[in-house]
Amino acid sequence: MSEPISGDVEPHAMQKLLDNNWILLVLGVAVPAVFYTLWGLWNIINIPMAP
Amino acid sequence: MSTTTISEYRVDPVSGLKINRTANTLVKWNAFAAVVFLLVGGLFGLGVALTRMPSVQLLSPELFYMALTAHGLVNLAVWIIFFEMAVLYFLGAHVLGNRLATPRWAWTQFWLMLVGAAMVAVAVLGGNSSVMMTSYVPLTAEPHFYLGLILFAVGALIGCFVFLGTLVIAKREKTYSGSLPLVVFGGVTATIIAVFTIVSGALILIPTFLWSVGLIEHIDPMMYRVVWWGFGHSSQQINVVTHISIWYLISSLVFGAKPMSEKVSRGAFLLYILFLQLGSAHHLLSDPGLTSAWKIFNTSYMIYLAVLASMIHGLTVPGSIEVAQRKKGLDAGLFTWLRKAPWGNPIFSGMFLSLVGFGFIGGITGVVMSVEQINMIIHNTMYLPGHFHGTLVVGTTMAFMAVTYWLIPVVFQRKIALAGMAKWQPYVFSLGAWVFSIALMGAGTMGVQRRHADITFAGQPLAYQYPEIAKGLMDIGEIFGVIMSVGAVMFIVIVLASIFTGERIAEDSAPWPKVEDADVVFEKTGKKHIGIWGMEAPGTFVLAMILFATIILYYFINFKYLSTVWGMS
Repeated sequence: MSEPISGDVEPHAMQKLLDNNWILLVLGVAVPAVFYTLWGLWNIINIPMAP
Repeated sequence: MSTTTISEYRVDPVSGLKINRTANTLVKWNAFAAVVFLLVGGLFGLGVALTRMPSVQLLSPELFYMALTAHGLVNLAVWIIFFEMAVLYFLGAHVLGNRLATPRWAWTQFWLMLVGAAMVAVAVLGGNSSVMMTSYVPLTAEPHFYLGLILFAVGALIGCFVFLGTLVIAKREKTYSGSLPLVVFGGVTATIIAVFTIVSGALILIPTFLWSVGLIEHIDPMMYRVVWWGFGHSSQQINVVTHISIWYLISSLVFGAKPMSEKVSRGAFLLYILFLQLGSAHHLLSDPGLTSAWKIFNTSYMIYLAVLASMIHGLTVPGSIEVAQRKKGLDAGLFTWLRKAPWGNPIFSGMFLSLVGFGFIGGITGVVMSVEQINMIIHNTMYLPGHFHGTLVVGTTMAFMAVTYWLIPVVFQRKIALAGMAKWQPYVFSLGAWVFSIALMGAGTMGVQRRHADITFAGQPLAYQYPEIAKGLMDIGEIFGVIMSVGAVMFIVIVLASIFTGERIAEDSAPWPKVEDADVVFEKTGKKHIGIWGMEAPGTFVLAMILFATIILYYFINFKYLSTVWGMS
């Protein structure tokens, strides 16, 4: 097993992000939801109806 | 009357881990269910393979589609997700020396998944739900097919939140300090992808269930495909993350290795969290309703960031093994560290075969088929089953099998039975899976379509004659599919024999010898440097360059081929 990263110094902002499972969860759901799902559905909704 | 109090925890003599008994029971049941489903799904897969072999054609078309539906669902979803639940509970509880959050909800996870899988099985075996894994509307399955899938997905979602809750407890009770160990962080990554996956599944399967019982009139097939692939493809990304976490775990267990750069590895997992799910778009590259901007953004820009992450993992795992081996004295030449690796240990051999096979077979082909133009050659051909067997069987299933050889003594407290067979099992399974994948991709490149019982089109009014070599490739592929099945049966026999008849490891037995930490061994040698050419892991660098060269070569070969099938004159 790898050693946990620890130390007395204030963790870097990126490390804080990586240590926050809940923010990661929000990002991990929001990014594909916006770029894949919602954008994809928007494409389909905007297909013009045949005359 | 005397009473004996059994401690909530035991210290495992094999791993030295502090094992919570309740959590361990859940790990056992999820892992056991997974292996049973591997057997069931594998048998259906064997039926599919023997039907697709043009010279055998075992099953009638009706039975073929039923078997293909069952094989896809059981092996792509049920076996793997049950195993992943076992892995998540193991990581959250055992690796952190922790108890499991809400064991009752964890049992709810287990029973919902089991009941859901049983309902799907009843629907498929009933013969009226042969709709393939994708169950594209307007194909209609029995209502309990969709309901079973929903229950299965809800169970898995509960398992994800039990794992996240377990991490909260571990932090609060200070069972670890600083950041989560890398392998557990990999579990977090898999869980986050699982949440997106399962929510996507619920968003499309709940209305489809309502449609199947007549409460909703219409479901748009194009919208179904977009949302379903958010579930269908992302579910396979959970597997990728889990098996990569297992690679890190095994490199640490077998070699006392540490990641070459833990920060870089964590960054690579972050890239997975943000971008890996976008790869779902590569199933929709031939769909007319979606814009090129959407297709290209999701498959040819963002997915490359996820590919970068895979490259990082593919470099750092063997690199960490090389560094550890060199620090332990195997510092001569370019590949002594690899040549003298424990190839007779199925934990290592299975993991390394998974790593190399996943990179060269599943990984390269996945990148290339995500290119919109190249995708036109192989879309809906046998190339796809060839590719995803290269990821899910060659990569994920092999990694899960490898780690099982370590989990049985730790979790089930039994020594591995049939050790001689276990030594050979990864080679037999990988030989079958590698050639199977490559041969099917070859046939797919020649246009052989997927999901068809008879590629000879015997007696069909609109027959098409494939080149003889395509039929030969299908025969070769399916022969090796049978070899792969033999490897899977060997695994199941070893697991069941070990669990039920393996020599018991007493709780109070002496601790097993530990693999020495490579850094500690290196300090004792008094040496300052390892490696050659100023690099600590030159062998891994060469292997990575071979992978790069193969990707570039394969990429251009496919474009060259594309130019021949799109004649312009």
